[in-house]
Amino acid sequence: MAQPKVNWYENDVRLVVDDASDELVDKLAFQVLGQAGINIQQNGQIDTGFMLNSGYVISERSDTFGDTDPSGSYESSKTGQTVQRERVDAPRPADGGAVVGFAADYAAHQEMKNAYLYTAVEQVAAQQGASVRIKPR
Amino acid sequence: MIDAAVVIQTYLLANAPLVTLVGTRIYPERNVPPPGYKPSDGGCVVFRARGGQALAQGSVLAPSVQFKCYGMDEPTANAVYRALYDAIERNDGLSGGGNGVKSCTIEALGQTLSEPDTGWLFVLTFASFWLGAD
Repeated sequence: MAQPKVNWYENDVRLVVDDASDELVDKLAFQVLGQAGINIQQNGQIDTGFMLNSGYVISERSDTFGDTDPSGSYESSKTGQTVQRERVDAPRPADGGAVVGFAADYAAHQEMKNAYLYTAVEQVAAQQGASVRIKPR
Repeated sequence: MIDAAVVIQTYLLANAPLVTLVGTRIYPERNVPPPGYKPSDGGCVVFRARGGQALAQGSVLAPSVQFKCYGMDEPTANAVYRALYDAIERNDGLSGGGNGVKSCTIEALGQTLSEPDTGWLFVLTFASFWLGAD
């Protein structure tokens, strides 16, 4: 069965930062992205590495979507077979904040199985103290 | 410390409109329905915490919970989702003491998706709960 393609652009969870400069917003966004990558590795959610390399930040100052791997054939470390991986389109630019996302079309399903990104948001919020809090959409 | 999954399951099983659609098929700590389930059995709900916090010196647990609502087709999956939404957002069960649930609210509106392995349709949503810790 074909893998369902998921464009999950819904603003699921936000880190709210008091009196944040664009620079601080960027810094926190990249911290979330980096922590999410660590979580993906620690969770054992890597096969081709495509999802890990599909993480991006889009903000007023940064746009790393173009650095993500393109759709194509990648080798599975689990089976040794070549598998097709698809990258979804970039979301709309952030409006005064930053978007952290993963462009692999199956990234949402991996998040449902083991939340690497939500956990990263929680971890970064905990590291920053009271000036940063999590707020559902 | 309470078993948050059991508290939430009990709270939802006390909601008559939801139970009308899914019976007792409300499965905690799962990402997919248990082995043996198939959509022709009727709707079901699976849920698991994706994170959360202990608040008020640990007297309140505040998990963020992922819900997946299944049905035979998109309309029935969405009917289960709407019943779940009402059970959570209207706090219908709280008037009877809440079975340990102090409050709850939907974090993200539902989106219909399909399982990669089975093709089963489900609606994904998230909710915050505030539970008495003892």
